[in-house]
Amino acid sequence: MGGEAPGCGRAPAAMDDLLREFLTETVDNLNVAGVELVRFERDPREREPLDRIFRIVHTLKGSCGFLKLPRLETLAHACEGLLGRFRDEAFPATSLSVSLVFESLDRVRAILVALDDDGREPAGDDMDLIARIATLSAKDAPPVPNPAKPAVGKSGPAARPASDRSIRVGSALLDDLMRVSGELVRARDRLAELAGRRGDAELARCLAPLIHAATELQHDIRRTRQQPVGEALAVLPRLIRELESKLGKKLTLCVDGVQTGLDRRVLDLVQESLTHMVRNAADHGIEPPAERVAVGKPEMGTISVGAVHEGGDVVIAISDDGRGLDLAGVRAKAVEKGFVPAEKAGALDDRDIARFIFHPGFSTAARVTKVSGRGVGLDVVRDNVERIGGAIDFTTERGRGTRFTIRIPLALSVTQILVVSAGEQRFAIAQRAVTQILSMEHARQSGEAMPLVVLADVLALGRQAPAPSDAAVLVMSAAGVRFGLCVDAVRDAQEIEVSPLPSVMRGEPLYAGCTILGDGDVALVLDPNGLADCARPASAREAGAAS
Amino acid sequence: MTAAPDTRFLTVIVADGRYGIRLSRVTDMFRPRTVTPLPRAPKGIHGLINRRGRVVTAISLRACLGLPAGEGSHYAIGVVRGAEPYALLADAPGEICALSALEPVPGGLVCRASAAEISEGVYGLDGTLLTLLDVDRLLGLGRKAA
Repeated sequence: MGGEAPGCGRAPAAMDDLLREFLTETVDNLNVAGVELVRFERDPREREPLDRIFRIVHTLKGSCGFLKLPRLETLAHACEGLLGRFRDEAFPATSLSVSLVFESLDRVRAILVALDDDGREPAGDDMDLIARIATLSAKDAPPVPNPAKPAVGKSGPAARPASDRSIRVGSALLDDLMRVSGELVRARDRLAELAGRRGDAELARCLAPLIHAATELQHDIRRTRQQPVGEALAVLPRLIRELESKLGKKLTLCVDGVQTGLDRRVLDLVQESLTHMVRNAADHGIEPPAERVAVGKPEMGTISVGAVHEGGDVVIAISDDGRGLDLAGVRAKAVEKGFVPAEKAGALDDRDIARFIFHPGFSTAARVTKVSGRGVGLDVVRDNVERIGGAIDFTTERGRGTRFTIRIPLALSVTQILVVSAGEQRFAIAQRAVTQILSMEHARQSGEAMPLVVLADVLALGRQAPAPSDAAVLVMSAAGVRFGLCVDAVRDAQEIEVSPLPSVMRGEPLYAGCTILGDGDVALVLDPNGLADCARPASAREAGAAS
Repeated sequence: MTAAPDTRFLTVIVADGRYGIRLSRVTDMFRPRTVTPLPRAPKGIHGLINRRGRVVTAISLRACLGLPAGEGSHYAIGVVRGAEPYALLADAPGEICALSALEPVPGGLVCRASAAEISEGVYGLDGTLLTLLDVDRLLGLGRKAA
């Protein structure tokens, strides 16, 4: 992984490759094992999940021996022993014993992370876990003498899914390909524009196949970055299991559309939001069993997570069949928290009221629970989703449940932007955050008071003279704030790829990244959320007062 | 390859001074087409450059050395830190010299205070003075201020 100073005393390069391969595979396998373990616990009579977990742990143990990773090997061995006991049915799959397997897998994962960072196993041992496994095992039959026998005659497709038809490629290489294809597309566009301007028919004819090929190339490279959404959902069965015991509720999880492809980076970013939403649904949405029975619902609550492609987006829906949103409660809370004056609250319709749940500092849970806790609210989820160019929305019906939809762009990096200028410099801003573009004249006349952010001022561009005549106000909404962004001119609309900010600028709230515009120049991409912060009271100015 | 790269360095001109950068750190040299200014950036960060589809952070050697901003075009020396590309902006490139050609300077001679922080030392070369720059400390400047 780039960015890190090369560690000293690392294994030789050939070993590094092996280790990397091992890490990637084991992490994938651990995800599978987690899902299978939940399945196994649900129905211990089903053999397939257990066989699969056993195989994974067995493979892990073998690889550790080969790669000289004694700590992992010892842990895997103990875990394998326990699984062997399950398999021989010497041992009941109790919540306690299954949790112990989960804990072991977690420990393996933690060691892998350290291994990835340092290139060697972290110091210490896992005797605490191993001792507990031993104590548990000791209650029955003697230790398993033959843990090394993997499931007999079961080398089916489950063992190595699709591995023959795919290869592993570092994501850095894909990023490079993406970058180069972007440059190709920009060069192509400049050429095409030139051909058009000169009216050169022959050049235009030669360009036609290039135009086609470059587009296709870029499209295909984007596709290589896609991963099935299922990878982000793999943690959910486990989460549901934990939530059931913590909340004393009965829950089923329905997952749909696991094969839906999504950019790897988007997937990583959205994962946290997904688990947060599921946790919320279990905690706030689904009623306790007794309450469900009392209103004639099945005792077991259902949480569904599904993903589908829709246009250039992926839509992930998280729904529950719980109690739905208590709009009256939300209204009262919004007034109590001072988000809206009491006299105005009555006039707001249900839709407006419901939106308050995304307000920073809002929490409908009357009490703080262990599960949802406080602090991290839906506002954070919304910010995270918006940051990657997505949107979150929901519908709710009292007594029937709530359905959240998260809409995210297929490829993180491709965004529709407006090119604006301020103080002789061009900036890019995501179109989705802009609801309206007004001339300065119109903005003054519209009579609507909203905070105004002057781009040249917040960036201290030291603008000379009065605002130019083509100055414009972009009406934006971000982070729950509606505000006007005052720019010198709106130049253009483009579809661009956003690159991360250089490290010297990381953490600067006003920029979301940077990009290379169609003409080859670099432009900064403004962060609507950061600008919205400038529009909050302290620095806000009323549109009418701007001069 | 006649000599291992770390035995040589590249000289550059900044204002009226001569500076050296170890060749082992230099990835490429180019004339940037345009540099996009970076408002709110830490001192020394000049802007962003498109270098073959990659966004490169440009660092002004003049600013880092505490010199007034110069007139005219820049010359960029590409270096990397981690996986991130940077460009050091100088007024003009000089030549490639062997490190062994550097002569120690009699005691008492120091470079300007702002340069001391980012240099490996001051040497004599062909009868003039040359400050050998420490690329890592140079690139660390912006980070520290950020």
